[in-house]
Amino acid sequence: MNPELEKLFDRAVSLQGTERQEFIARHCPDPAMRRELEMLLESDHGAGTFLQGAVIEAASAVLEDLVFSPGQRIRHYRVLSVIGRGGMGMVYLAERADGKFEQRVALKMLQSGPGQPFVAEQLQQECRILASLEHPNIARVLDSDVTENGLPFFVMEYVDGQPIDRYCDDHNLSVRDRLRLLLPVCDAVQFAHQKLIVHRDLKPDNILVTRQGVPKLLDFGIAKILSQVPGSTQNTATRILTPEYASPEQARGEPVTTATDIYSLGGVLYKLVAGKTPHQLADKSPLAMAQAICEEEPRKPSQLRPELAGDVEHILLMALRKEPQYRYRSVDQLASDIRNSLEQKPVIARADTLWYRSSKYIRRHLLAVSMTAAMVVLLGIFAGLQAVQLRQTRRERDRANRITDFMTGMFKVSDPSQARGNSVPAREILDKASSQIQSGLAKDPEAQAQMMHVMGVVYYNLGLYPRGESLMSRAVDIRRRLLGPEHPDTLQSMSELGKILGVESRWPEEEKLDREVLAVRRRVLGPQNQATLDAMLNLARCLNGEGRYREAAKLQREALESLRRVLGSTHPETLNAMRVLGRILTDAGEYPEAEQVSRELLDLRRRLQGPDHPDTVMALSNLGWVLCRETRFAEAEGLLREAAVSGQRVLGPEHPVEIGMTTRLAIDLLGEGRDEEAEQLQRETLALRLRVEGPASYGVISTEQNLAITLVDEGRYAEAEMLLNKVLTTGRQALGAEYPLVLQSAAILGWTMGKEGRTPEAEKDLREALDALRRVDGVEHPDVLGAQTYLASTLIRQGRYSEAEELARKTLEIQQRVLGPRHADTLATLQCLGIALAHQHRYEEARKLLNEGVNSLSSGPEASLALAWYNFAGVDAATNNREAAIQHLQQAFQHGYQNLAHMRTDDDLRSLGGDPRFKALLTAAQEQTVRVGSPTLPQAR
Amino acid sequence: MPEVTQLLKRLGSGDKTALNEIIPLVYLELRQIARGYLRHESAGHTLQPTALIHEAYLRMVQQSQPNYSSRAHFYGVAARIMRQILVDYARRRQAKKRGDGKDILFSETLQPSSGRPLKVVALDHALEQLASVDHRKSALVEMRFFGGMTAEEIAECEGIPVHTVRRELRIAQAWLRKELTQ
Repeated sequence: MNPELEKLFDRAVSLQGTERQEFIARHCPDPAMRRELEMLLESDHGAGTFLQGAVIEAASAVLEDLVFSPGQRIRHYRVLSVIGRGGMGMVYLAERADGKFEQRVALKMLQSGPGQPFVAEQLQQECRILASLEHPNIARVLDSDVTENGLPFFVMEYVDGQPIDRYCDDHNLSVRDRLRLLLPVCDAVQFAHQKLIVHRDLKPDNILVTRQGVPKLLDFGIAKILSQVPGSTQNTATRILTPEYASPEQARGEPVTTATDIYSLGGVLYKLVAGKTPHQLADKSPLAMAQAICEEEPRKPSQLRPELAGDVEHILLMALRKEPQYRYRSVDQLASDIRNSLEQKPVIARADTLWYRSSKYIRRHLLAVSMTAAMVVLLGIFAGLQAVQLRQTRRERDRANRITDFMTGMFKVSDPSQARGNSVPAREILDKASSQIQSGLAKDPEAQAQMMHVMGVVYYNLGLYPRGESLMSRAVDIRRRLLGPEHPDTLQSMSELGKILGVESRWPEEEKLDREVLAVRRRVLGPQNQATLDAMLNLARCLNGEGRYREAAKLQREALESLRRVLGSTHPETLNAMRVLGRILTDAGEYPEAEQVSRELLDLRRRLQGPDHPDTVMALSNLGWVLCRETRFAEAEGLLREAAVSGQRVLGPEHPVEIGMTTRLAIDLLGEGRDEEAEQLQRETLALRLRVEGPASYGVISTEQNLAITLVDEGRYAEAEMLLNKVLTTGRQALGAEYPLVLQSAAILGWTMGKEGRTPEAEKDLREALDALRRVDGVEHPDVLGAQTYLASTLIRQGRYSEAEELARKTLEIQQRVLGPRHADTLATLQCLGIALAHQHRYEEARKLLNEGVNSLSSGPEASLALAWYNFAGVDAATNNREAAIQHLQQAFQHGYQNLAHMRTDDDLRSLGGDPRFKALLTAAQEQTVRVGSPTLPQAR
Repeated sequence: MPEVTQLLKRLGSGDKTALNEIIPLVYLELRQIARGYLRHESAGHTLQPTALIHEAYLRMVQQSQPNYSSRAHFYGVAARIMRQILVDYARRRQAKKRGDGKDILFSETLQPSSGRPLKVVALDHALEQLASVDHRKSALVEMRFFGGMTAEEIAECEGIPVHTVRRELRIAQAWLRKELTQ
C-alpha cells in the first residue's frame, strides 16, 4: 500500500469535519490520491463491524447445515427432538415421515463439522457388520444413510433409558444388584467379541437401562469404524472419547483388543460399586492423564467403600490391570467371576491376585510414547495423525474398504459346524484370519503388512512365539520392500520381531535387527529420542543375553545417561536402566562400578519406593551380590540375608526372584567357608526350583552347579562330578555349548578332576573351557582369569612348573590390575605362582609371595588362609626350614586345613615325615571330615 | 503438550516451516471444538470463531505454561486455519456440483445446501489482493477477525508496537470494506 497514502489516512482519520477537509486539501494535491483517500475515509466508518459480520455469517452457515431442528426432515425420517450429542455428532429422536412404521428411532449423525474425512461407502460396509449384532442387550443398528447434504448417519433402535450409573443411584440398588445388572452387559460384549467386534468406548453413558431394567449397549463398534481411516502410520490413533474409562494401551495409541473392553467394563463396574471412576482425571493435561492411566494404580475400592473388600475388589483390580494379558481372558470369565462372587463361590481373581502381585514378570508399561500420540488420542481428535493427509485419495479409501471386506469375510465364514453355541474361541478366528491374510489382502501389501504386524503382536502377547515370529517377520519383509528399510513402521516391526526372538533366546538374530534399528533411529531421530533410547536398551539387553557384557555395559551406560537427561534421574525408566546396568556390570566383572551403581540405585529405591517394595528388596539383593562377587562376604551376608528374608515376606517363598536371593545367600556362605549351611540352603533351593521351574531351566542348572562346587569344597568329589556331568549335558542341550554358564561348568569339572588327581583329563577339559570362555567373555574377565589359575595349579601337579609359572604370572598381572591386589582370586594366583617358584627352587621369591599372601588373607576367609599357610609350610619344608614348616602347618590346621590325603602325598613335606609333631597333625586330620580350602571360584549367577 | 509448544517456540523464533507442521494439529483441534460447540448450540445461535480458537489454545497447550508469546503465535496460526475453514465451506456452497476440486481441506462428503453467496468469499479474495501489495496488513486483519486477537496480542505475535498494529488495521479494514462494497 502506498506509504504516502497511509500516512495521510492516518492523520486525516483522527480529524473531524472541516479540519479534515482542510487537511486533505492542503496535503493531498493529487486528485487521484485524494479520491482514494476520501473513499477510504468513508469506508472507515463501521468497517470493523462489517468485516466481523462477514465472518460470523460464514460461521453460521456452517452451523445451519449441520444441526436439524424438530420438524425438519432427514431422508425418510422426521426429527422429533434432539436426544443429545454423541461424541461424534448430534443424535436425534425421529420417526418415519411416511408413516410406514410406528417405531421411533435414533438418528446418529456421524459427522458434525466440515472437513472430516469420512466416506459413505465405508460406512455402509461397516453398517452391515454392526447390523449383524443382534442381541437383546445391544441397541440395534437398523440402517445407514446419508442426508441430502451428504452427512452420513446411522438409524438405530431408540433406547429410552438412563445411563447405568444414574439408574443404579436413582433406584438405590445394592452392590449385589449392581453386579447383577452388569451380567447382561457382559453377555452382550462377549457376543460381540466373538464376532471380533470391540466396542472401544464402554462407559456408563453408553450403557442405558430401560424402565424395565434392561441394559442396552449403545455405539457398539462405532469408535472402531471411525478409527478405520486409511493411511496408517505406526501409531494407529484410536479415538478415545472418555479418558476416564480408557485403557493404558489406548492411552499409548496401541492396537486395541478385546482386553481393552474388559478394562473398560472393569472401569464401569468400579464406578457402579465404588461411586467414582478408577482414575481422577479432571483438570489434567493430556500427558498427565496418559501417565495416570498407564502408571498409577486405581484406588483400592475397599478404601472407598469398605464392604467392597474381598472378592469384588479382586475382580475389579484384575479387570483393571495395566497389562492386557493379565486381565481376564474373556468377558465370559469376568462374568463368571461376578456370578461366583454373588453365589459366594471362589473367584479366579483372588488366587490370581496373589500370583500377580508377586510376579516379577510384571513390567509396568511406562508412557514411552510420543507426545503427539498422547495428545491426539486423549483429546479424541478424530483420525489423529491422518491430519497430515487431509486429502482423502481414492487409493486410501479403497484400502479401507478392502480391509473391511476382509474382516467381514472373516466371520461370515462361520458355518454351522463351527458355531458351537456361544463359544467359538477368538483364537480360532485369529488363526484362520492369519492364514488368510496372505490371500485375502494379496492386492494390498501395505494393509497386509499392517495386519500381520498387529497379529504378530497379539500372538506374542498370548505367548505363542513361533506363530508371532513368522507373522512379524513377514511384516518386516513386506514393509522393508514397500516402505523402505528406514521407515518408522518397518523399524517398529523389526523391533517387535527382535523382542520375540529375544524371548526365544535367539540373540544373535535379535542383535542384527536391533543394531539396524538403532543405527537408523540414531541417525534420523537423534540420539536422545525416546525411540532411539528404546532401541539402545533393547540392543543392550540382547548383548547381555549373549554374554557380551562389555559391549552391553557401554551401550547401557550411554542409554542411562540420556535417560537421566531426558526423563530425570528418578523416573522409573531411569531406575530400571540403572538396575540393568548394575546387572550387566556385575556379569562383566566390573565390580567397583557395579557396586557404585547398585548402591546408588538402592538409595533411590529406598527413598522413592520404601523399604518393603519388591524393587527395593531386589536392589538390596543386587548390591549384596556385587559385594559377594568381590569376595567381601561378610559385608554381603548382612544384605543378602535381609533381602532373602524381606523377599520371603514380600514375594513369597516360591517366587523365582526370592529363590534367586536365597541362592545368593548360599553362595555367600560358601565364600565364607560355611559349607554345610551353604549346602543345606542350596539343596532347599534346588528342590524349590525343580518344582517351580522344571528340570532344564537356567535356574536349576545354575543351582546344581553351585551345589557341585559346594560338594567339591567338602571333598565329595564323586558326587560333585556326577552332578557336574549332569549339568553339562542338560546345559549343553538347553542353553548351548558356548553359553558362559555351561563353559563355567566345564571349567569347574576340570578343576574337580584335578583335585581328584586326574590331572591330564582335567587339563584337557580346562583348556577347552578356557578357550571358549576367553572367546565369550574376553581375556580379562575374572572368570577367565580364575580358570587360568586352575589350569596353572593343574600344571604344577603335573610337574610342569615353568609353564605354570608363566601362566600364573600373566594371570596375576591382569588380576592385580582388574581386580586389585587384595582380591581373593589375585591372592590365589599369588600363591600359585609362589608354589611354582618354590618347585623350581627359587625359594626366596616364593617365600616373599607366600608371606604376602598369608598377610593379605589374614582378614579374609579362613579356608583361604589355611591353604595359604599350608602352601607356605610346603615351601619351608622344601627349603629345610623344619621349624618354620611345622609352625606354619600348625597355623594351617588352626585355620581349618584338614586335607589328609594331600598331606600324605605332598612331596614338599616329605622331609617332615619323621617328625612326631607332623605325625600328630596327620592323626588329628584323620579324625575329622576332609575339608579343602579353595581359591575363589567363578560362581554361577 | 511439548509438540505444539515446540512448534510455537520455533515459530516465535522465526521458523516459518513450523507453520506447516502446526496447521494440521490446530485444524483438528478446531474441528473437535466445533463439534463440542454444536452440542451446546441450537440452531439460530451464532458460532463465534474467536471463542473456538481460544478454547483450542487452552486445550492444546499446557495450562501450566501460559507463555504469552506462544499463545499469541498459536492464535495467529489458528486464525489462518479458521479462515480457511470458513471460506472453503462458503465456497462450496456456491459450487454447482460436488467436488469441484478447489479445496484441499475437505472431503467430498459434506455438500452445503446452496444458498446465497457469502461475503466471506469475497473477503477472502480481497485479503489475497491486499496480501499481494502489503502482506502484513493482510495478516493483521486475519488475526483480528478470524482469530479474534486483541491489538496487543497481535503486536506480540508480529513483534511490532501496538500503535502500529492499530494504525495498520484501521486502514486495512477501510480498504477491504471499500473493495467489498464497490
